[in-house]
Amino acid sequence: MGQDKADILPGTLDLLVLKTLDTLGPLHGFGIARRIEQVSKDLLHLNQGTLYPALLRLEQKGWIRSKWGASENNRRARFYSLTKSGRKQLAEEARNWERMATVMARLLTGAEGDLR
Amino acid sequence: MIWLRILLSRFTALFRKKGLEQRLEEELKSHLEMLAEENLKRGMGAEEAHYAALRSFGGVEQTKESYREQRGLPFIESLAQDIRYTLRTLRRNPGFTVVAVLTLALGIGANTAIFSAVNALLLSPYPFPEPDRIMFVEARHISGKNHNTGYHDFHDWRAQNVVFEDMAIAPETLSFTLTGEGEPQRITGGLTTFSFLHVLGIQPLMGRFFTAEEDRPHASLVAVLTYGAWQRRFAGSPKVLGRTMTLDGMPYAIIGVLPARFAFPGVKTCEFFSSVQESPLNGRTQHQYGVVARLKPGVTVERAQADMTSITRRLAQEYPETNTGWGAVVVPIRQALAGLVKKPVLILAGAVAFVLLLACLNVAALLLARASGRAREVAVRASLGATRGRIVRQTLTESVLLALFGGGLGLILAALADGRPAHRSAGGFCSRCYAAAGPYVARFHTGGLTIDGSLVRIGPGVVRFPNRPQHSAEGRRHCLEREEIWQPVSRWPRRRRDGPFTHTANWRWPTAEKFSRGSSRRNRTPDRTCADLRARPFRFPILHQAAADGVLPATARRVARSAGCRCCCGCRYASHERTWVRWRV
Repeated sequence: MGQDKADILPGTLDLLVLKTLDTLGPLHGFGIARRIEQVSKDLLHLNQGTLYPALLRLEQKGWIRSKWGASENNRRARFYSLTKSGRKQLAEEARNWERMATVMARLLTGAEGDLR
Repeated sequence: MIWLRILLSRFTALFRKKGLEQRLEEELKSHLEMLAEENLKRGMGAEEAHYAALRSFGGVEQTKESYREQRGLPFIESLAQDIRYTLRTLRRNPGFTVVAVLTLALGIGANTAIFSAVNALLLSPYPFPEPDRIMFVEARHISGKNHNTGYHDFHDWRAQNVVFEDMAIAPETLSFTLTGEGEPQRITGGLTTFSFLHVLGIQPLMGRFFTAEEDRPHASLVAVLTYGAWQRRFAGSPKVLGRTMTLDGMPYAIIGVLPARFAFPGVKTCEFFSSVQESPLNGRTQHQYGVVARLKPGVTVERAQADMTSITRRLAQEYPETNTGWGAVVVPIRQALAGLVKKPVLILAGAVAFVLLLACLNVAALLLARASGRAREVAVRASLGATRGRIVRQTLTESVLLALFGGGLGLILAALADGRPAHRSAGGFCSRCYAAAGPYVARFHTGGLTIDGSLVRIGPGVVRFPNRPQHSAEGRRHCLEREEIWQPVSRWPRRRRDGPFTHTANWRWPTAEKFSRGSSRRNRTPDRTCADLRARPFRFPILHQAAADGVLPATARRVARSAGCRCCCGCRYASHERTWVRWRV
């Protein structure tokens, strides 16, 4: 429908956050949002506000933990880091995602012409 | 196990709200500042940087609201909120509250008191085994004047009958003066024969009941405590056996304690039981004792009656001076208690049931009257984004709370009525019922009433929910005064990307004039088009802005923000099916 940015698929935000924390280590919400936007090269439209409920959800599940710290500009910010069970979860979700992606890719290659 | 973990963390969040709220506030603030900083580096002006940050963050208040939903237990939080709100409104309308609670209390109280009588008499099982075998044996003169038995006659009955397992004198209540334990006190005791517990088929909880020897005249005095007296006067101490009580100046040795479930008609106030120890004078002329007996297994009431008739005939022949004209009637205990009073009790129960019904109706009418008075409140809440379910739930909480108050007070009233002497001795019937089931009955009533009340309340809650604020008379006036109409967000014109305002070319602006005639969705005449709109941007105040200007009270401001109203500061609004937004015409 002429949208230039894709919305994030439901359920994938968790994976994005976990992977970001896995790659970059402890990071604050702003950093996570920035990173996701950078990696997606602005293809993905992230409503930054939605990040916080997602972070809380992950924290409640015990996959990440958070504590106050100082940002690079010496601003007080809450830093999130991956826990052990979070790492395990990441591995699992990544596997699931790849499987799904493979299936989708396989399915779509046949109909590529129509999709352009 | 993850759900347990989530539940736990959500639950603990309920109690750390303040700290968590602050954390959220700070976190979002630092996020926005970082965004703004970045924008500044890109060369934006300070204000521009701030707004750009807000834009790319997207709805700060929406974020907070969904964060809060994720954090705590929304159900419990909104329940607590409703309860607080209800208490506040009830406090603010003391007249209404007092009337409603009193009405309910009277209804429930009367019902509880009467229903416990019905329950004890007609419904509940007696607290001893095989109550159907327990009979009252009543002496009956041919003139029908007396129902009691003389001491000697009782002994003859007991010795000669072949149909009863055992017979006992039904406890006769007497008042004693208890001394030696602080201030002298009046204490009620029941005088009976040693066979009493055997007839009822129960065992003492501790110690023993008195024996045939202790039943003889001039034997040593003994007392068996009821469970209540044991708890109250001796703090349930097991060392109570062997102690003595001084009653009317005589030492009574405490030899046993009755079980908690012990009950017998007419002895509710008794704190102990002792032996009758009747001296054999006037044993046939003083008709003063009730007799209770247990049928042998398999013996019918008719057979027992026949046996008793032959015994009394024999006695009349033996002692013609005293016993001529005296017979005996065997009456099952249930019938004896219920037979006399079944009809009046049922009539009374019916009457108080109607009283309750009336109380309910009254309260319902009060609530209804109040509901129409509160149409505006509902309208405002609805327009701020409360769903119908939410409003119904709030009214439900209100009525449940009201019913609970009424029920609580009713319970107290019933308890008071139960303890009244008039109640105990009236016609000898109430004295015979034990209302152990009272509290359960009250609970039952309260529960029932809560449901009644709720139903009564849901009605208005649903009915009064205005489809649009302007559709209720009150809302219409309110809106007209302010030249406002209310539109659900879902009916907003589709957003166009290019302008500050959202509209489609063919979307028409409804008019105040049309609307004042009670317009329906269909027959609105357009008189202003979007061109007008564009020309008059100042006519586009939206709740968020109104909130920022402090036009709305604080609570409304919060609700309005969370409802996802579009903000003039440029942040995105989340379109919300159920959200209403105020438009000025």
